[in-house]
Amino acid sequence: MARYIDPHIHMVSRTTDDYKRMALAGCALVSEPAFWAGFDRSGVEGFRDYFRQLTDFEGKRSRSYGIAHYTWLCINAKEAENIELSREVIAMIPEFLESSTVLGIGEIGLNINTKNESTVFLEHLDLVAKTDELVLVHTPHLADKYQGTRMILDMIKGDQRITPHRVCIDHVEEHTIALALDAGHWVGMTLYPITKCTPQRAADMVEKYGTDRIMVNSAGDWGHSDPLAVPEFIFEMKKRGHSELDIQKVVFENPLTFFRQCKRFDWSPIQA
Amino acid sequence: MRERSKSDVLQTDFLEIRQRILDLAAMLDRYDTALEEADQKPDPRLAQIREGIAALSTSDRPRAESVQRIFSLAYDPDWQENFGLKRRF
Repeated sequence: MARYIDPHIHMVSRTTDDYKRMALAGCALVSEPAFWAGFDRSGVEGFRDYFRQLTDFEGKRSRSYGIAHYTWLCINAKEAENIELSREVIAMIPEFLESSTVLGIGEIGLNINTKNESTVFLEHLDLVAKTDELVLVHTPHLADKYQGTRMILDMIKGDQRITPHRVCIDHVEEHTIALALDAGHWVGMTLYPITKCTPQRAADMVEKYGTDRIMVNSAGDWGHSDPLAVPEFIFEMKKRGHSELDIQKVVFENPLTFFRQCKRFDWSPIQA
Repeated sequence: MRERSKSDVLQTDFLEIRQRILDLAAMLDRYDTALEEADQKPDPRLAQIREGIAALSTSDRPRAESVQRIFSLAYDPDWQENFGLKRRF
């Protein structure tokens, strides 16, 4: 059985049965970015409780299934229209940055590509530069993706304090992957049933762009999604005759290499 | 990375390609036979669908990237100036 890492999954929205099925499928580690709960939180204390859940309780839940749990903190793009709340949350994040399971700032990004979303993205980047954290970037959905990805890349390039290889541009698809790789970033391909990428299209992109700086994730959450999407990708790659070495690089070694840039990350496979 | 032959790919994908073309044909039939509303206005999504189908019939590659761009909003290189956002660093 291939071991794998799911570098983007929202486990607070999943059941313990999912943890068990993921463990049985070979999952060794998950990384969970902060995201939108499906409703706007009423204030900064709602985020404080969410960050406590991500940095404390969720790790205990995953460990009971032998899966390591790491996390990312931010205010997501959907709530970034409220700039005042966003600034309160960004000011509170450093309280949690010494937690050993925090990998960095994420998933920051754009949703419908507005001025307020861009302002909050830039202020997150400022925090990243001041704290030397890794970044996980959410790119928009569907029609907004191409425009939003170009805007995000413009903003990162515009802040010369940000090192490209310490940033992962997530949810890339056929029309955005080369833009992010050419800018020196890592990329994540999200395997979603309808709105993002299938395991087959992800395998096509690995065949086209190679195995360097590329990861796959399920982005499993409270909506229509599959927490076993990464094993589906592994299955597709095996079906096409790709080597265990190439597959393990994409689903295991690459996430580890990216995470190891975080000064707090000291996980090794024997600890699983 | 292992490279596959065209016959390998066709062997693996033929039935799925057939199924998806059939699904698409049925969806378009479903739309055509649906009731027209009295105040029906032109819907730009129909033009996107027509353009997307046309992109499949060309030999230009990469088709997947072309289809993605057809369903995407345009990028304006002057967006930061338009938003009044200035480069700070």
